[in-house]
Amino acid sequence: MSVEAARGILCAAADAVEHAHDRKIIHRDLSPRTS
Amino acid sequence: MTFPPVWRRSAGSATAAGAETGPPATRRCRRRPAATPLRRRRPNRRPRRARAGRGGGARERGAFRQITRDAAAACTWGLPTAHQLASQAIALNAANAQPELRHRLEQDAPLRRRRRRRERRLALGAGQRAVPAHALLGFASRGSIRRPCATPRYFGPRRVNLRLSGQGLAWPASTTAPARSTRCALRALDQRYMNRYERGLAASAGSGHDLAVQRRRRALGAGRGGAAARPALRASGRALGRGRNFGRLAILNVVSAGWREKVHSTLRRAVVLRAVGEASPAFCPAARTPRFGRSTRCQGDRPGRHGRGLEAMTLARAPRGGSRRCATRSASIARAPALVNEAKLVAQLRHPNIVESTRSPRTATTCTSFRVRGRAHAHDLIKADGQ
Repeated sequence: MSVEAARGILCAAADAVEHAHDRKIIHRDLSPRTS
Repeated sequence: MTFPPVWRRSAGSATAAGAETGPPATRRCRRRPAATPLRRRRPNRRPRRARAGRGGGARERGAFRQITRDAAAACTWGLPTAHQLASQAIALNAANAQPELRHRLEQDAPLRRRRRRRERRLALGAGQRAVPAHALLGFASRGSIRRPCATPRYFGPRRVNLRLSGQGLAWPASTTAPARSTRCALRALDQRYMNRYERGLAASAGSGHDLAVQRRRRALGAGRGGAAARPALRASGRALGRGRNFGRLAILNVVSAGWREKVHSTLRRAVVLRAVGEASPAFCPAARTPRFGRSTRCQGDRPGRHGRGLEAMTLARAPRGGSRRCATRSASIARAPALVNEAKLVAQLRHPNIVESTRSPRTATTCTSFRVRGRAHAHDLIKADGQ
């Protein structure tokens, strides 16, 4: 996987996690394997 | 004749009097009423100097040795005085204002370029500049030249003063009005007068990332679906045309509070993504949250199995009519009861990057996962996961 592709995926995942955090929902198990 | 009491405060008396009478006495009455018994006055050990001009009398009476209470405390206990604190605050404020100053000067670069182009167009000399209207008005009020027009009118920095340039008037560069950047710099010195957006601009300038103006304009123009309606701007086009700074501040200051929150989050996102270097869904039109389940399967889009963990199975799916392929997770309630709560929580979220979790047609599986952009992304994500 290229760095650009990984960065795009991580940005999308981080955006979704931020959305969840704004609504008081915490994942507590974020890792490369689970995300 | 009675004289008002004169308080003499000096550092030497504070320390020495503390040695004499116990607690430090910073105030001593030189003249007291006759009813109170007079104390023996401590002799002034400092040699008297000759009176020299104005102020010599005050110096002779020891006015320069009179210090304030906090200065006495500073001498006694080593605390910083108010003057030292103020000096430190001024130094810190100046240091904090440096990134803002640099940012504003960078923002004024287009104005300077336009002014140079105007000067080239007017074919002015090396030491001459096109005179702004307000500069001429200022000189006219001091009587240096004739008032250019009967009613003073502000032309603004972006417009060429055609009346004066047509007459061939040119003014030496040293006599022009203070530059726009100078005014901005003076205004930027005190951050107390900044609103939160200006502080955000200052923070972005301090971090070395320039805001993506085009992206922000696009974000301001295209609100996301379901968002609060954009209120009508009260700023006129005239104000928007006076430089980029005025336009931005006018836009940011006249909108309602709800829209301000959205603009603030958008700006913050722009700063973050500028650092990351990737476009965000915030700048894209709102995407419809994909739904999976029976309807998707009826379209013939069979999910591909890409891996299986201890509790769930990872699938790669493509929503109907969408170009983005997603990674989903499917689990059996009987096998993984712990995932039920997770599925319920994620089902409360509505976000373009979160797949809406639904029950499968067999009512035994739940799909919850993050959606990623592009087919290759999902495929690579699963491959990189080692499954």
